[in-house]
Amino acid sequence: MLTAQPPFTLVDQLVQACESVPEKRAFVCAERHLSYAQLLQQSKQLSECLNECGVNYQESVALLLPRCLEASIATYGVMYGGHVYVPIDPATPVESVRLLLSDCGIRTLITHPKLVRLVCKLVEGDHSLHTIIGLERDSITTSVVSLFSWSDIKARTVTDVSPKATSDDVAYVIHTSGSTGRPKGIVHTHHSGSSYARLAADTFGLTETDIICSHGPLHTDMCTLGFLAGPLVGATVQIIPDAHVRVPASLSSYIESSKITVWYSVPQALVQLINSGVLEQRDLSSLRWVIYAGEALAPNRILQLFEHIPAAQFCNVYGPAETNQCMHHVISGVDEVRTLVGDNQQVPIGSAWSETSILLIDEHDEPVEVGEIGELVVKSSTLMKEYWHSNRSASEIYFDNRENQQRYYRTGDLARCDIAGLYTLVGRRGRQVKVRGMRVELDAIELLLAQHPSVVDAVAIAENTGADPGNCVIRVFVTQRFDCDASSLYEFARTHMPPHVVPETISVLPEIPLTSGGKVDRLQLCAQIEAV
Amino acid sequence: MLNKNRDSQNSVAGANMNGNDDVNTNMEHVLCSYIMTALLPPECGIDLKPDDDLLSIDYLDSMQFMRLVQFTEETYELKIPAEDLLIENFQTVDLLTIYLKQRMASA
Repeated sequence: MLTAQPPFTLVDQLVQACESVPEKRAFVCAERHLSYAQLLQQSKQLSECLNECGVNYQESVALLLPRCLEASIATYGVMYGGHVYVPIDPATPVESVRLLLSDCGIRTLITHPKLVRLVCKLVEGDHSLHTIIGLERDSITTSVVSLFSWSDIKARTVTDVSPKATSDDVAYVIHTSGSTGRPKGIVHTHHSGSSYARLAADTFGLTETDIICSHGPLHTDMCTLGFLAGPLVGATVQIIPDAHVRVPASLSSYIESSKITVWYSVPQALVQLINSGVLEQRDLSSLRWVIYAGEALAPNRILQLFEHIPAAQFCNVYGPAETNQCMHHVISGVDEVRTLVGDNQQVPIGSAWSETSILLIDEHDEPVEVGEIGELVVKSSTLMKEYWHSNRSASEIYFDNRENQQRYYRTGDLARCDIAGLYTLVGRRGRQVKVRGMRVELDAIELLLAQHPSVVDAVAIAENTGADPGNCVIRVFVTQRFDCDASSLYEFARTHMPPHVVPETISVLPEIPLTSGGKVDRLQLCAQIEAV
Repeated sequence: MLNKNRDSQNSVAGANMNGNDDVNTNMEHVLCSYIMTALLPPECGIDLKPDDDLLSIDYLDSMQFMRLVQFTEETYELKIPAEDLLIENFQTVDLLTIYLKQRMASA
């Protein structure tokens, strides 16, 4: 740790890193890098530009960025003056981007020349923008907005203005697609963000010698480990370039050459590395942590990773974006994984980290007994402030615990806790459906089919066929390691599942569609079902 | 926007071509039109050039990339080993064409 006194805001973290390790590389992306001193300087330059453009204190600024070095300047530059950064997925259709900007009353957009085509389309129609930062002057034809390039920002002289934000100020808003398809804005403060950074740094023992990868796109909460916890400890953050994320053998070579010590990604990225990352040809011994979050990773996959990276520690992290992160399980070693594979078990989500308390409650908001399934509710210093412009009532979002007068966030995830206090996810509220009146866990079906030797991934979807919610039809989509016809998968399902759980159809797909955040795109699969 | 004319010329991959330039151009057309019609969203309005960066943010995602690999393997009846799944072989249609030709020559 750099200091004994924890900083109050995310910007304080950067300022402190700059005092203790100014020349150290803060962020790297491909061949380009910024030292802590350069990052702070350019953040100030951006901040002053925002002030000059009339962006108000705590006003939101949209970030429409690829994986690039400028993302670090954009996040810290926006926060420096007490503004709020709102990263937007560049894969969002242009109409939805426009809607999101006007919904959030956003007048300022920070972007990158790589996205010039998208921004051009954006300003063709009705939009709320006054200022665009990050495009060359002649690259866009519009008279309505003021335009600044990244070199304009870098050329500015700065007066030494101190950072403006306070701990309770809003720092950033992340949008999740939400299972219903309508994006939810999750509002995080400097307090919740820096609490996350501090707890993550403590949990993983991060220091300034670490090289932390940032694999996820900026609009997901997978970025927070690098972007928020990196500067807290003065570590180097390696932003994996977009091209490397897409091309597995280049990705593994990037990990090797940039000597990443802390890996953090969605499981799908690890699966891709295992399948086509030629890991046997790479020296990945720099990795001391392999951390994954967002979805489950089958234990046999972890076994495969152990073969190539035997010295690394593996950690399953759990936490909806609303909580940043709140639970984790460090795998004790290869024996634990072998036992999980043998017993057909999932990797637990472990236990809560500090400053966090967890409860499991039933549908009547009563605590459940040890070993029983309940909804996970969380109280943590890392918890979001609120949802952006949400019309959901507080009691829908939170559980107020009468016993300790504390407010807990309802995650919607179902879990079970064993006698040792170890939690395991069993599914999602709403992922438990009924077939002919009998309860079925869709996640359990996926897990079971994934045990078939030819199955790489399995996704189970429940289709409501009529008015009766107690009678769904279950359809499963799988991808395969080698060709194996659907009837043999059926046989497997029939011999391993109770009859009412056996899926109505099992379809083999060349690949499972993913969201731009790298998670299974269930909405698209549902649409496929409807289209048939 | 898609050029319909060019598209229909490409329906047969690598057939009856005289000389190297023609083979090259044909391969580029086949790959470009596959990417535009099957991988990029129809409303994106990209007229793909052989030197466009396929791996930049608003072109192919990692799933579409794997589909491109699969398509190339099927169309040109060859196997691309995992160690060749590198940016330098796939960044543009130009580079992919060069790689595929080397691969076919060595087969």
